[in-house]
Amino acid sequence: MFQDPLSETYDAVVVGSGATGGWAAKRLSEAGLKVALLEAGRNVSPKEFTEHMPAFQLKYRNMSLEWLKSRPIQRQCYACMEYNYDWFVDDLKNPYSTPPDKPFTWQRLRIVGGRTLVWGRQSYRLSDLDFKAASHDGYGQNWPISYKDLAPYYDIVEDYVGISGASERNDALPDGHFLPPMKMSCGEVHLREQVAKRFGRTVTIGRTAILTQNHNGRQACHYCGPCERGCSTFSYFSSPFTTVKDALKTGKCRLITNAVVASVDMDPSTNRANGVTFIDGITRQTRNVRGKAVILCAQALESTRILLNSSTREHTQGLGNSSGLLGRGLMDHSTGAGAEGELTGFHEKPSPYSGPHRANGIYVIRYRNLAKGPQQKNFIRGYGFQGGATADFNFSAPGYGAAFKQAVKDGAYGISMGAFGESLARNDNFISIDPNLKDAWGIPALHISMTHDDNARAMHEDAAATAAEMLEAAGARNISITSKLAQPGMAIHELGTARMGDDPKTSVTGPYNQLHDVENVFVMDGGCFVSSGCQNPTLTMMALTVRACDHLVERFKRSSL
Amino acid sequence: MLSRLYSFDISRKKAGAARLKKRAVSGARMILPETVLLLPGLTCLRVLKGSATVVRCSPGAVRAALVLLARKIDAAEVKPPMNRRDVLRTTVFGALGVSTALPSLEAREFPPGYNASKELERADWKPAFMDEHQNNTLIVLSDHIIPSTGTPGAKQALVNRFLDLLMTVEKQETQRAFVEALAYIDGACRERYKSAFLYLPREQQMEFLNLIAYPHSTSTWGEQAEDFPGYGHFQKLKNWIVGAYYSSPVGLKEIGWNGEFPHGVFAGCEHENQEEHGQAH
Repeated sequence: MFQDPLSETYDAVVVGSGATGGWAAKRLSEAGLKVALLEAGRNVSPKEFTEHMPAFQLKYRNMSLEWLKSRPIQRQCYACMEYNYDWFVDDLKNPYSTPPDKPFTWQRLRIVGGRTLVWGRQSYRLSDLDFKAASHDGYGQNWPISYKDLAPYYDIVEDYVGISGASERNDALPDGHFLPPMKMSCGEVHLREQVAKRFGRTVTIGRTAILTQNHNGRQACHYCGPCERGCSTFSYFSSPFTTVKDALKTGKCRLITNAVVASVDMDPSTNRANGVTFIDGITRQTRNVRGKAVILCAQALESTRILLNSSTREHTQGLGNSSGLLGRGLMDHSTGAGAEGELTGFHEKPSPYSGPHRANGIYVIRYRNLAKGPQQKNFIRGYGFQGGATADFNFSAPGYGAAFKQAVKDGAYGISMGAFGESLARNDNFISIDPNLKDAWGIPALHISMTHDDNARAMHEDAAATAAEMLEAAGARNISITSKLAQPGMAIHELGTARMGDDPKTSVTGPYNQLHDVENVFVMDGGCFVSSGCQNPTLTMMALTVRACDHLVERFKRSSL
Repeated sequence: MLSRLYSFDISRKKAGAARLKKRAVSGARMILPETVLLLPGLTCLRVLKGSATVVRCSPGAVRAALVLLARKIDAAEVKPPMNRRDVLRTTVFGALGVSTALPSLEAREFPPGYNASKELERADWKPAFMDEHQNNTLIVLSDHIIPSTGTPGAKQALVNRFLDLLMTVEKQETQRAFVEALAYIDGACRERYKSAFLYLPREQQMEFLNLIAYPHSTSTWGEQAEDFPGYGHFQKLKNWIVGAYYSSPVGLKEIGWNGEFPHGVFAGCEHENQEEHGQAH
């Protein structure tokens, strides 16, 4: 009756309960497999959600960084605030190192749901321009799969998650199974019309994992605004209340919290993994959980860290590293460039505090270096923009007194866009184990070495200039631009370090996410990405996970695992 | 280890549950909706909104739970909770919980009705960071910047009290900038009017503010500009005051808070053609 969950042998041990781990647990347990779902952090409760809590109820009204002394890195994240900082890792307990001249911001959560609790929710498909980018411009490697391989899994994920958006029939950004799109403001409609007319580029409403109608037992969004503080109606997608919940409902899945995974356990006689070693996050005891397959969904850097920390006599440089490429090819979308200005002449007034607040914006679909069309001379690949044009209260109105107070209320109509650019997979952007650094649980920590390259710099100058020309076309005034790249990590789209491919000499994982070197260990998070595209990657990660899990279930059925 | 046994209706078992509760933490008052009870045989009972779950856990987990429960009760009885509270987590006693049973002390919940701004309204409030003169100066200054019009202004919003609290935890350089900005105003007024800002007649206060409230150039024909320091100091104080006012209950009402949580339908652009978006198009 009280069987110790660690005494069982599971069909699959899934490490991480975020976007991909939740899907792996759901997909495998619903197929009848016995799953252990390990999460390094604690559980989360909807009672912690604060999306409806006005700032004055907080002691420091989210204006002081006093709370964030233990989170000097996490506080750089827009979503880390006085409301929810305890969801983010304690930086003092979770150190990593970088070269002094190569800062990297690693923003992460250790809690059931991981970053799906606070993610930006923008959800875009990759296209064959991304999967076969090397064929297009000669740089790097193609993915071992193409769009048609993944399309059915995009469908499955979108149908379950609920992505609102508008179809645009644009080759660079395939349409999906969308819920009704959120509405655009007048300024955004105007921008869309002018940009289409002047440049033939597409401005669409953001495709977002927020429900615009009731869907799969969850309620439609009520437009309160601050999703990153949780959602009491579960209207945006987060794994604890969807995929993880479904997995637990099967009775086949055990969630083990506070399980900080240190390494994959190998059986040297068979060259197969037989489970993982973890540190109990609270008692600090070393524990093991046994499984016939090990699935790493811990986030790209964490999964690779586990593999690098799993060396054996046979696998001396980390598990799955016979190519020497494990840890290499770290990517994070380049970001920071963009433009902003003011629109005049629109009648819309600021949305009152009581709402509605649309937690979504517009998206400008990639228009550089397309399959058909002119190619840029000074950079390859492309970028997209997230942005918006809305009336807002004008807290920076000049002067003082009654006139100032009125000016705040009258508001200002701002328009802005910020670029996300493709990050090239480069072997000199890498992670390795820092021999002199351990985390609070005694697990060797990462050394992260990454810079954005000249291609990203050239791309972002182009992005800043074209953002300005689009704002100009929309009649914006007081336009200002920035072309400065934010430091790597700031896009929070870490990808690569365990890239997939057909050839074990040039890749770490195979086309179904399994390690070339160990057939029952899988990397099912962003670690497997071969190239980054410029699209927000979570939707693609989830689709890859479902595809790989279905393959794994087939192998179990054929008893080849 | 922990695993879920069964749930039952608390109303039917109320008497028994209450008795067990008393045995576990005698004399402590009930804290709902989450109460954890120790049962004989190393079993814990969690009461949550009318239903109860019995779970079994290790001796270590029970001990830790009791320690935490005692702390929670202490905190609740000493004074109303003002800031972060360590509370028992569903991780420990919920259906999802498993072997590693102890709760994380990082977990944080805001109890129903939690409202830190109430503390600012206390009749016996005293500044903790500022002295009386600075405090009174800030009140007058804030009321010039955001006056009471048809709606309450910064003074009624107790902007000074919140900023005083905020400054107690700010970095030294921020604290210094705040103090220096207030000192600049007094220094400049003494030079100009032989009096601190606070004691000037209202007309002179506004005359002075007109000098520092706008971008201020000192360049003239043939001479290079120097920074006029007053504008910088004013802007800093204004930003603090604006932030404190528009995050207060009074300030939120000013920008359309109706007392309810924000919600609605984002209607977006409903115009048939672009000419109607606005006058200019």
